[in-house]
Amino acid sequence: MYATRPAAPGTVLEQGTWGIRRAARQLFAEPTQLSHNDAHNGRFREYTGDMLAAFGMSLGAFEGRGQSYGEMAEALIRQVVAPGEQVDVLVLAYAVPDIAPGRATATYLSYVCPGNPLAFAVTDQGSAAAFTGLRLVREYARTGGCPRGLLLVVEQADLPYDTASELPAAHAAVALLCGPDPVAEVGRIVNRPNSTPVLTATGKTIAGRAVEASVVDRLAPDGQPYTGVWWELAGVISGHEPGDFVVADFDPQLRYLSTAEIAVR
Amino acid sequence: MTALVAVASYLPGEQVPIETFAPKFGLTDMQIKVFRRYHKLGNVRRDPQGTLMDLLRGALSRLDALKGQEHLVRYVIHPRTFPVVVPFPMNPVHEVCQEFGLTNAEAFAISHQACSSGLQALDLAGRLLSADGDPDAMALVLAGEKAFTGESQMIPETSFFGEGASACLVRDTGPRDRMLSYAAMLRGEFDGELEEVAGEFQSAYADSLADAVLAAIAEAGLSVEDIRIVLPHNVNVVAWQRVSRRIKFPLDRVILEHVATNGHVFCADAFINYQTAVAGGMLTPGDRYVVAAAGAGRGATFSAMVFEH
Repeated sequence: MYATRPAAPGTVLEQGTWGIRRAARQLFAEPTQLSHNDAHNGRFREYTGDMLAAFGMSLGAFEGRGQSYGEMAEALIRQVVAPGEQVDVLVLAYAVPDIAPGRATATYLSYVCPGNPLAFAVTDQGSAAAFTGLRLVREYARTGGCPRGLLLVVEQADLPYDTASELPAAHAAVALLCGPDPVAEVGRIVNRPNSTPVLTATGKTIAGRAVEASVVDRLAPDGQPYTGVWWELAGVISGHEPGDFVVADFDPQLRYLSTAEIAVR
Repeated sequence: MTALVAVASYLPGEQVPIETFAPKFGLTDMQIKVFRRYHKLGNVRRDPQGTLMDLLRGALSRLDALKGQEHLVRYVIHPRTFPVVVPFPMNPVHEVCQEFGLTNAEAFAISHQACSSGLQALDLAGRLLSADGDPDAMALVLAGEKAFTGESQMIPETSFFGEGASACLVRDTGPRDRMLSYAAMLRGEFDGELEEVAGEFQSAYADSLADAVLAAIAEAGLSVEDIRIVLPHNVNVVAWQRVSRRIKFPLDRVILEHVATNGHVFCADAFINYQTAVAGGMLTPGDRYVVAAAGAGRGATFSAMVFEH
């Protein structure tokens, strides 16, 4: 049971005492086994078919295709949460829906993640959702009694209907385990609504491909519109590359310019 | 301390009897009778021609406190029972933000706790505002969904969903309806289809929800005797009979009058019931009340909050 009170005024996390402790990243080459399950496919056909019909759209081929965020995230949890560790809050951030559209996946992840954390999903915010997710992990550490947090950023590459938006090229997931004694301190995180893709930043920049920046130290991999910058950050953290980084991304549809200051020791 | 500023709701005018759904779900006359006699369900709200945006517009246009204050809204949070409700990348919440001049706001959805996502949204709204430190800034929790498919129309042996929406303005601090505590129990072991986990889920339901309510009351430093009313989710009456018995709270102080007329309006029930309580004079200044919700559907969450009016 998670129980808490609202944020007490003036509560602060002391500098250097909280941040990212460990990171993991993984591509998933194959569709999930769930996509071959007849019972699942029947439910998916009805749910997604009804949703599309309300918009005059039709369902294409879906059997044996697509990924499940529950299974992707579970694999990352096993990599990033060490034996004996516990997690207090888990945030799942995504933009593209997976093949289990009616499933409370974050609640399921609370069950399989050590610590039975408070868990929820942040979505409908394009590439900004992961930034919001990291902010919320920090706010629950600061005022919600959840010092050990886990952000899971996921994207899957297959939708069974025509979409106006670019889909990821691969199924990808990134996990950032946060808590005391970090290897990377998390500074200011900002989502600027109704913004332009122009970034003026000091420090080393890890930028999404839609960002226009005069200097970019590391560019997110092509085809990973929602996990790309976090994929790069995970590489920096796992590779022990010290520096003051600005992680930046721009969502061309929703027009958020998002930044997060990360100081890797 | 997180505080509510104003609440508004929209319910479509059409009320559809639950018998209408019998052919679709293969319900017998006896099952319908049980829904009516024991669960006290009757009609559900529907807007057959309306979209999700129409529902959200309906709530926002009734939120008088928002008018002229749009620039102060920093977050628009859409708590959702069902994780996916429109084809990607459609985004009704961002569209209504533009339409209503909420252009300084970050908008996003909070989900995966089913109908408990509304309380989660309220809790995290307060934490974001607290971090910003701007006493004038507000968050808008905007709940509402369409019953667009079988899963979002009926919970087997439990409830029927009704369409509607609510809008709730929240500040970091304020003089009325201050949040005192929040408790949530996540039961991810109920990850199967509802019909697969129904038996175990039904037996755990009342105890889990009662535990969440009692945990929230204890976290607020109160006892059940200190609680004036409970604002429930409108899942059905019999579930609340069991919960009220377990927490030793009189059922006539659980606001259940909309179960028969609206059905279970996703994450919006708490706000609709709040308005009913205030309009009916059921809350006087200083009264403490519980808001409670349970989310079922491939993962279960039971949650409760205590407020001081």
